[in-house]
Amino acid sequence: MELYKYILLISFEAFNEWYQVNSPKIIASLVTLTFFLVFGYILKQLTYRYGVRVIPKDIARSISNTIFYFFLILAGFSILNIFDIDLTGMLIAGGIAGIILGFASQTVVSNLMSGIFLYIDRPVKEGDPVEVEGVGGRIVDIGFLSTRIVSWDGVLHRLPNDKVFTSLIKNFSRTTARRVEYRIGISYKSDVKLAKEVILKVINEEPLALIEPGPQVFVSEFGDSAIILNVRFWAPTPKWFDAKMRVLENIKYALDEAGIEIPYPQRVVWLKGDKERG
Amino acid sequence: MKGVYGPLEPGVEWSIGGCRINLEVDGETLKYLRSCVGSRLERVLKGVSKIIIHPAPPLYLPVPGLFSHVYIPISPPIYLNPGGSISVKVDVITDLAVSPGDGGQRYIDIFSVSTPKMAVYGGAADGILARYLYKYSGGDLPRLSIPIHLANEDDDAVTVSKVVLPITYLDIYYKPGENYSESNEVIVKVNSGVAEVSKGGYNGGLEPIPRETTESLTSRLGLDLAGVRKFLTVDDVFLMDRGL
Repeated sequence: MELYKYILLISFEAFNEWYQVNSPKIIASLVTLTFFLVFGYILKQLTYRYGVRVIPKDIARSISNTIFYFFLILAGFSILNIFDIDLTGMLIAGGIAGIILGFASQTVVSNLMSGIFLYIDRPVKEGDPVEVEGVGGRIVDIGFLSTRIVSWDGVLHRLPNDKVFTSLIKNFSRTTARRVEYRIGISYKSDVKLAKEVILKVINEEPLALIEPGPQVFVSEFGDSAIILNVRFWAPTPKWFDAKMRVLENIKYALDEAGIEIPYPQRVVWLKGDKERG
Repeated sequence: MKGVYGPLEPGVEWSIGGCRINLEVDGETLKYLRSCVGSRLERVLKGVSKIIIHPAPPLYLPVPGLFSHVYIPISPPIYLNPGGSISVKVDVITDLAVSPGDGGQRYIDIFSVSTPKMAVYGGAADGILARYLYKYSGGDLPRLSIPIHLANEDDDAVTVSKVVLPITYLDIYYKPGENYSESNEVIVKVNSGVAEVSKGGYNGGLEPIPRETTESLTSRLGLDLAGVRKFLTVDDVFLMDRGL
């Protein structure tokens, strides 16, 4: 008989013998695993479904996930117990391994702790439009280890929680209203008063521009090529971008209609001797 | 037909303050067309034989679901000595709605004869976004008259320039055949620089406007009107604690 066939036969016979001795334990383990999985899954679903009504969605999801993982660990311990594996030895070995792992997984622990602090501090929540670490977009998930942001151009970014927690976070959804600001240059020949009136009229006709706080239009600078008007108004935070886009376009149309020029950059050049030549 | 509230039969043109409604029979359906300055809406109505035009609650325009309070400017502001009280009627321009004349709670159309605007009561950071109601300035514009009772229970004189209240505190009643509507009374009691705003009664005898149910508004617009009652509200009294 060839060697590999012999090894296969021995292995099969050994497995068969082990199976005949341990089959009740295997079946018991499978039943235990199935029970814990099913029970854990149902409990997870129920926790999420009822939790989401009283606590924020992301927290409800994390709690329900934790419950499921807890049942998985319980299943593991129960199966080890069925096979009469001494947990004391494993715990000692686990302790040593834990120290080694602890050193190796400092970043993971840091992210985990940051994740917990993110839940406590709540600088952001799922669905918030934010800018974190230079990534601007909407938060789609805050996990225990990382936070996921879908940027405005539709790309998913995964940021470790310790980065999120220690970074400057700009949350664009936490205030009632946001200010829109433009700098608009009009030519030195234009009537400043008329330009201000035209711009204010556009803002007043825009439903998303708030009446209070009121809009402001003022001369902020005499530029190289234009008189710079600062235009400010407030819009409800969820509609800030819509208002910003629409009003700027309408200001352009209105200024054109009123004959107010938005000049190109220009420079007046005097040639030496012009004065003498007249 | 000059713009008055009530039923509108097909074939009759209706207009008010720069807005015009045409309703025409088109086979087994009705063709609804509304045009205002800068906006236009066209609908095909099936199973509707006529429409009813009436005032709309100020919670749909300009963007439904964004706000749940109403901002009523009082112009000129009212100065009240300590212990003083006054009952005034503040006339504002109301939005209009079109309901099916054969029943049904969902509006066919909601529009405004003016630019619907919003205002923040309190700071921009944590203030309350509210629908701003323009003062009625005369003419044939749709008018809503809001009776407000102001009482100064403070030791100092106060000047009241606005009243902010949850939308749920304002019920609107209208009279078919006119473009006039009125609301229940709003009671404002000022004490220690804070105004307590509560909903008063209505004894006018006009018809209540058709309204969507609170459940429908919540599910359709995400407008938590039940939640509105809790925000800055104690025992059905809204606290204006961010300036009068």
